[in-house]
Parts: sequence; C-alpha cells; structure tokens
Amino acid sequence: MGDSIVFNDVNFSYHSNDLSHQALKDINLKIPYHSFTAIVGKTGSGKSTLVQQINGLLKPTSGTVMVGNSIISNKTPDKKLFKLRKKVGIVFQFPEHQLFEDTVLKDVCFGPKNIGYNDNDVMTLAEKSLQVVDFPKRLYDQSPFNLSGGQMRRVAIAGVLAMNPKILILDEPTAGLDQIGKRSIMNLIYNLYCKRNLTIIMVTHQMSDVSDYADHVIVMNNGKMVKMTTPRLLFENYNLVLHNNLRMPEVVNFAYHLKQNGVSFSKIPLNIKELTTLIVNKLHR
Amino acid sequence: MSLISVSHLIYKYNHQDTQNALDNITFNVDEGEWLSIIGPNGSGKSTLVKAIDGLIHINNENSVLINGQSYNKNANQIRSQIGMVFQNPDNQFIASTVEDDVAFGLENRNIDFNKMKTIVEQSLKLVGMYEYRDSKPENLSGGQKQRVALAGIISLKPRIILLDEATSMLDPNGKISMLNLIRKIKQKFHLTIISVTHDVNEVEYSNQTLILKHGKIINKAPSKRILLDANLLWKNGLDIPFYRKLIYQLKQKKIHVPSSIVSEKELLKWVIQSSLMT
Repeated sequence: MGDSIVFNDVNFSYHSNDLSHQALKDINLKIPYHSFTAIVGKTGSGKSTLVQQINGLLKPTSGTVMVGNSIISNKTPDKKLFKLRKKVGIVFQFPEHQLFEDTVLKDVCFGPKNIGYNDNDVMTLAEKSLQVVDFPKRLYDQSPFNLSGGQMRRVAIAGVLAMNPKILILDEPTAGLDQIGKRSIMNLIYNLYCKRNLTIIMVTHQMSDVSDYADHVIVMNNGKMVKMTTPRLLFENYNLVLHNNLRMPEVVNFAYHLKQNGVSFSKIPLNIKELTTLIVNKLHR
Repeated sequence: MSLISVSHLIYKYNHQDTQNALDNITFNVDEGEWLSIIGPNGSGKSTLVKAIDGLIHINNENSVLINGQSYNKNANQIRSQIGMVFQNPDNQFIASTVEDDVAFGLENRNIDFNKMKTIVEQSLKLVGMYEYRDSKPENLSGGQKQRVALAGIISLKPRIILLDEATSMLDPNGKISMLNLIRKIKQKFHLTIISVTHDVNEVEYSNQTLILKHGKIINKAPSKRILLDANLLWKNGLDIPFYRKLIYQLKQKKIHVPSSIVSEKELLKWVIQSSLMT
C-alpha cells in the first residue's frame, strides 16, 4: 500500500452542492510508484482535475486518494496537505505564466523556501535543479520574462524540481513549444524518470509521447476513467481510441493502413524504429 | 505600396545587450496575404509581431509602416486597423460575459447602442459563439475563448489580424477548426494575416513564410516551397512530415525509396506494393 497512488471511489465537483455537474465520477485506479503514466482524453474530460487530486490542490468531494501512506479525503485539514505537497510536485499547463520573481534564481528558490528549507539548502536545491534542466548559468540573474518560451519552461520545471518531489506531475509539458523545445523537454522528463527514479504522471494530447515514453496510460472521457492500460494495448484497440476522440500516433496509423492492405504483422509497431524494422523485414523476405 | 512595410528594423531589449533582438529586418506584406513567421524559440518572432502591433518602441519610425503611416505619428489610426490574438486566451478577457467582452472594444469607440448590439451579434454568429453570449468567459474551453477573442477583433473591422501562436494552446482538433475559421473570415473581409507559429499545419494555411533565426531573416519564400524542404523545417523547430522521417529511417537501413515519393499516401502505396511483390 505504501508504494502507489490509489483512488478509491473518487467523485469531484467544483460546486460541492451540485453533483449533476461532476468533474470526476467514480474513479478507481492504482498508479505504482516509479512508473511513467500518461493521462489522455479530449479537452474537458477531467484530466487536469484528476491530477490535482494527487497533491491535494483539490480534495475529493467523496472517496479517498492515497499517496503512499498519506490519505486525502474531503475531511483532510489543509495543514496535513502541506507534507504531501513536498512529495508531489505539479508542473501546470504553461507554467511560465506563473513566474513572477525578478531573477531566474530567485524564482527557482521560491518553492523550496516556501516549504521550509533553510537558506543554504534552498540555494543548493535551486542551483542543482537549474543544472538538471540544463539551464545556462550566465542567465541565473536575468529576469525570467526576458527568456524564450523554451527557457522559461525549463525555469518553471526547475522551480518544481527544487522542492525535491518523489512524484512529478506534468500537465501538457510541451504544449506551445516548437519541435526542438518539445524534444528537449521530453528528453529531460524521460531522464528524470530513468535516472532519478521519479514517478511521472503526464497529461498529454500528444499520442506519440504516449507511445514513445509511457508504460501506463489512463483514458478519461466525460469525468470517467474509461480504461487504464498499456500504450500498446490502447493503440491495438482501434475502437477505444476513436470513441474517446483520441488520435492514433502516426506510426500506428501507418501500420493500420498496411494491415488493411494485406501486409500482416503480429505486434503493432509503437515507434518509428519498430515500424522501420517491420517494413525492412517485409521487403527482405 | 504594400500594406505592411518593414525596412531595416533593429531592436534591442536593453541598451547593454550585445545582440540585437531584431537585426536589420526588411520585408513587405501585401493586402490579402497570409504570412507565417517561423523560427526556433528565441529567434525574435514575437518581438517582430509586437513591433508591427506598435507594442514596442522603435527608434527609427520609418522602419515599420502600416499603409504608409508610422506609429510615432499616426498610432491611433494604425491601431484601429490591426487586431491581435495572443497565445493564452485567458489573458484577453475583460468583461464578465461573452457578449460584454465583445462589446468592450466598440464601447471605447462611442458607437450607438443599437448599432453596437447588431455588430456584437453578427460577430458572435460569425465565429459560431452566439449561443454562448451570456456565458462567463472562464467557463469556456480554450478553443471557444479564442473564438470569442476573434469576434471581439472582427467587430472592430480591422484590415490586419496578427496571430501570436494563437492556436498553440488548443488540442489538435481545436487547432484545425480555429484555422478554418480564420481562413473563412480572411476571405470574407479580405483581411491580411500575419501568424507566428511553429505548427506545420498552420504554415500550410499561409501563402508566404518567413524564417527568423537570432533576430535575422534567413529565408522568405512561398509556404508551399518551404514545406517541401524537410531539412529546413527540422532545423527551424518545425515538425517534419511523418513520411519524411520514415523515408530517412528506411534509407539508413539501405532500403532504396524512390525520390519521386512526396506524400504519405504515395509512400504507403509503395511499401504495400513492394512487400506484396517479394
């Protein structure tokens, strides 16, 4: 029990007296620690609401959320949630909109200071986090508002990492970045997952990020969890993908067209390497 | 005369900066054109659009001319002809209902109440948001918010619309429907559009594309031609079409893909035929 995130019959409504407009309905799920879980679903399906339950930013209207040994319910006092927020870091959508200090370094220091680290530790944590996100030292004293979009995003992520979370939640971390920015942010996240052994939970619209990086995927629709599965099983289920307004990754889409036209294979390719191997084998047979 | 004329535009954020944010930029946009501005993050795209919108102060007043006029002399006249949609729809709302928000710009222009009501209604209908006229902006989805922002701009009858990554926060379906709407409005009012983007799909909607890097123009060409150059797109932060990536991978494995293939459909057909033949 101590090594996972568990939702038990979680319901949530933004207006607690009105259960007709529930943002989350009867959610039961278990996310193991040290896994990489993607959350997908169309806009308004409850993805962001779901992840905000995990660090107690939103408390379930009914039911419980367990993060390791901490339990969050409607009755949990806010004071108790403080400890949880050290453990669970959230990088929100467009986190650069929340930068506010006059230098990059001060901005990254804000989080750890706020949760009670002493001044020495704050500085060490902040500098280490900026190194982890590969942010150039010469820009530490710059105003965050003079940075490019990709750099601002790195500063915002460093601000969350500086609080030393065990669980890192990212809400559409690459939205609005160009391809170079997207690739480098995804590499950064994947490195945190592999090398720092963090638990990663990522809300995304990018199906290729699901197939490339995640080991679990949760499909949300209209406040309900439709399915928790692996990326391969999700993309093998054509109807599940379509009925939830998701798109196939381009690789999978290409493979489906091959299959429909008589080029058979047993295992659906999930990335461009697997697809290339499949085609090479077919042509060299 | 071009509607928008930028010549030898130079801009620095701070006097101490050694590098110019915009470095000797020269280009024209004719009436009715749709120009995409692309380039890696930090290349100066947003700064350039701000200069065209008169949001930053330019030392040489003649380096940005809109319909032959400069911001230093005719700022109000120019502003009435330009509307801008920003990346984050949440930052553009002022009023507490959709209808009031669209009316806000008109109110500032002292337009007669009944006339204003008609214009607001027409604008909201045009973007497909009339049924939401009494909603609170914060209850709308990202795509709906961008439509309302667009209605507010159209109500002021601009000649030019600037889009600063206006679709980047929307999901894939939302992006396409927003772009289709912009195209429709552009045709209806014969507008001129400049859009900053790093979305290949958005580039496809434009006629001309300008590539910026380190504050300099490194290329300006018809969008169709830019889209064919996968290497150029990749180097400048845009995604290259999936079939190009696949051809590259196949070539690495010594599979000879005919160079006549220029679409995903053609590649698919070729793979199917070749594998069924063996």
